[in-house]
Amino acid sequence: MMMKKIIFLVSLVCVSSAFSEIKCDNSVLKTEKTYEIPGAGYWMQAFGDCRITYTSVGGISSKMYNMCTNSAEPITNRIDAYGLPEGDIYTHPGAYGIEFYKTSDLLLSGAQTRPFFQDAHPGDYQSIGILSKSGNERKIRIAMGSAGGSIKDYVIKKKGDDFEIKAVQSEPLKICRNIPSAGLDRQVPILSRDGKYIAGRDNGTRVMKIYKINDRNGDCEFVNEIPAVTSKVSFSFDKKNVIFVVNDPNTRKGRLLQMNIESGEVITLSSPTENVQYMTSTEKGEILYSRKSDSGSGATSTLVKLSPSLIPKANSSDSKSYEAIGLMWAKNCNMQIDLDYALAVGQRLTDENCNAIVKDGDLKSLDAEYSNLKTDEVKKVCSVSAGSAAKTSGSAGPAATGQ
Amino acid sequence: MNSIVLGTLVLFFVCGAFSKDVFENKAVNNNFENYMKKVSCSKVLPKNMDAGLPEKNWSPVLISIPSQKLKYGIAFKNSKTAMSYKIWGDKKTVHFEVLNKNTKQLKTTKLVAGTCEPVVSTAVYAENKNSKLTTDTNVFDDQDLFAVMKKSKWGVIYVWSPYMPYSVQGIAEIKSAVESSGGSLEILLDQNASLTEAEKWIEKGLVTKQYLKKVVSAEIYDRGLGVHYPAAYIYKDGFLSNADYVGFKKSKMYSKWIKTELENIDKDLK
Repeated sequence: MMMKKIIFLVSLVCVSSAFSEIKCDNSVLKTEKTYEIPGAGYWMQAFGDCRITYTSVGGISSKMYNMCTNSAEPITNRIDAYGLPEGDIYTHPGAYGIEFYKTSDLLLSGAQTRPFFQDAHPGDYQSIGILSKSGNERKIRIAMGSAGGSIKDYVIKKKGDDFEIKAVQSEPLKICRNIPSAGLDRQVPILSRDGKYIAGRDNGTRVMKIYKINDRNGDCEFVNEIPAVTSKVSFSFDKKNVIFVVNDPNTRKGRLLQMNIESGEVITLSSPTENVQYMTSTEKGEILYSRKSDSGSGATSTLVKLSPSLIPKANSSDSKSYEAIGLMWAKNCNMQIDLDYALAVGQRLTDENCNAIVKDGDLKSLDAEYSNLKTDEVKKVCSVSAGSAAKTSGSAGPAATGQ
Repeated sequence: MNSIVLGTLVLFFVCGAFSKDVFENKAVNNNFENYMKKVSCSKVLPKNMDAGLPEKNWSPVLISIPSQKLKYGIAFKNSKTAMSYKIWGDKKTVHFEVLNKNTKQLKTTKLVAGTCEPVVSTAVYAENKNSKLTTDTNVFDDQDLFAVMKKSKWGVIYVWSPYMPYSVQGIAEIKSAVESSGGSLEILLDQNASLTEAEKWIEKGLVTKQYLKKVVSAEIYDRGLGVHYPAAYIYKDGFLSNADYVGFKKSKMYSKWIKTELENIDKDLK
């Protein structure tokens, strides 16, 4: 009997030790889902409910991945695909101009699909915004990055399985010629989802600036700037935020940030364990980003999907608790992190890891503003996030390789 | 006849697309002036700096200090003198940091709104050894960078990524621009890239084995590498420009950039 009690107690200790072992890798982070995708995910664009397009390797072409079927899908062998959020049409910049393709054609003919419409809007680094939508008709705006930046609008009418596209202007409209640099630098301009704003890097100061476009004459009115050297940005569909990657000054890894366009407030979304490569927003308010593969593979990357409830927030009433949890986790992992990282990590930890941190971490070892927090209050946030019970690092099956 | 017309049209648009590319970018670096508007003690701070520093080409920089909020400042690095300068702050406080990499001395001057009386502290600089994220051994580090800068009067460091097709196309363009101007050129690979993926470009005949050296130089990483490819850096007389030049450009654009940046470096070297 005594022996049974001893064995039972030892088991309890072992189990509780296992539960309180705090991990220091990406497995501690909550995600809606993760996928292993071929390539790096650069120039990633969400395309419809299921797909993303991004750049390819070894050729002037693009890649496409279907998150619903967890597989790579063929896409036309052209550079820099950019699709409409409805998922039915996508574009490539071509030598002649902008090329439009139907997804339905692509699914039938694969990489050999031909464009169903082309228009003389030459250039590259294109991005698309939806100006208006009504019934079967959409008015879209395509911005091109070359030659200082230009835009051109199109009306797309759905007629059965086909589309009729008409350019609104006969010539592309040059934009931002009124700003001090006399135009946008060509390599990072990105149009907002509603086509009204454009983000472009100032080649003098190297910060990313956001402008409102005057539809009539193409003049750009300064709205705000991201005070950092960033990747291209992705605008959210609710028009409130931009997300982007910066080079973290300490880890030198890619760090995912989000800026509120109106207030200029910037928050961190990723963990110091992640080396983020590229990102995009979806119409559903999700964030998709690629990071160096969790599997260590050089040929694939890990694509992370964050549902709106999993995206870290700034200035919540529980910020101090989240920061405390993030700091304790970092301490456990022999890392020293700033408060923005701590806030992000605190919100992104799985409930299991969060509880383990609160249980084993030492609040008293933190600065006064945290050490005075009550453990019960801090512990409360471990289950606060909506849907937190179900959310762990859920990986999809292995991705199909090739096209 | 129709095919001739069509071919001419295509050629016109192709050439037109790229000839229009060379627009007159009148960008000006006024980072120091702009930043002074955001911080306290902006009239006092320059008096605590070496003469001429405010006129240099400062770059945006992130300041990440453990257990503090992430901050956005500006920095100027002089690779020739091994001196680095950073400024960060807000309307309440401003910090000015001077790092001497030779002596490893870090001196920080803090000015608080109101009196703006400088409070100076010094520390020993702990080098950040995190720039090497790859286990590959064929790498280009700071030692290699300084060796290259010592060997040539001026030159360009060009970094490409196999996942960015334009960065591969840009190799021919930067080669043309640099070689026609008499500079040296180092073509290096993004250290996050898979070598297998990079080698696929060799099969296409657009890249050689010499371009597979991965860049791990802290000096280059501290100048913003990693967020876009291609990224080009220029150096002259041992001074590495604080600004990168990102995105695909035709050789004519690169030539303009080289001319402008060499002039900027002369200004920064004064």
